[in-house]
Amino acid sequence: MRFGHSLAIGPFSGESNQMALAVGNGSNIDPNGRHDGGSRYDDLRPVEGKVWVFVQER
Amino acid sequence: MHHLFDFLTCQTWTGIAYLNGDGVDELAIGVPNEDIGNRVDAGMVHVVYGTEVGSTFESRLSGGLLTGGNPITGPEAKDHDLFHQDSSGVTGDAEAGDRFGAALAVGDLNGDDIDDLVIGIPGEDIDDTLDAGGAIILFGKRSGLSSSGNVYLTQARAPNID
Repeated sequence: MRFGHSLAIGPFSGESNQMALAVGNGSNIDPNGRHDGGSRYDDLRPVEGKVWVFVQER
Repeated sequence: MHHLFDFLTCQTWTGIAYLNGDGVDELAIGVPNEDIGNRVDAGMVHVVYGTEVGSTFESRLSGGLLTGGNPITGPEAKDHDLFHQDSSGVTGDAEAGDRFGAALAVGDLNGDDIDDLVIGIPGEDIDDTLDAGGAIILFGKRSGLSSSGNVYLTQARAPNID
């Protein structure tokens, strides 16, 4: 529920040919996930709920 | 390749990005508590386009955008865009409590070197499910942010990654 409550975009996997969109449903997303070049999945720290990650291959 | 420049928070989410690929920052402002007609808290998003000449962000903002005045006009072809779910081409309908713009994120999702804007709609009702929530991707183009070809995401359409 409340899908779209939080959003983040970044190459979370660290792969240069990918860009990913993370969508949370009522959870919080660590803002570090937006800024650090996205090398680690653990930048996403949901407090509760779920996070969906859409990966765009280039 | 244009990258997200910065991210700010205030009363609503704001973001700065290159949404028209001109190398000058734009400012996106989510106003989830904005009423659309008589639909309370339907929400909207303002996009203020940056420019290297003429009016500045400051003059555009003080000109009425954030003070309840008329939409910004100026010598540039496009100063300002306004999106909500009753805007032409935007998927869905503006409904009470949708809170369109409650979350924003920017990034180049389609690899065209122009940032795109993702808009959270956490109060979106899906069929009979209240507040199921959704998100819309608006793609940046040379002419500015566009509702054409927008992508609408819901939890039902998203793969479960448990």
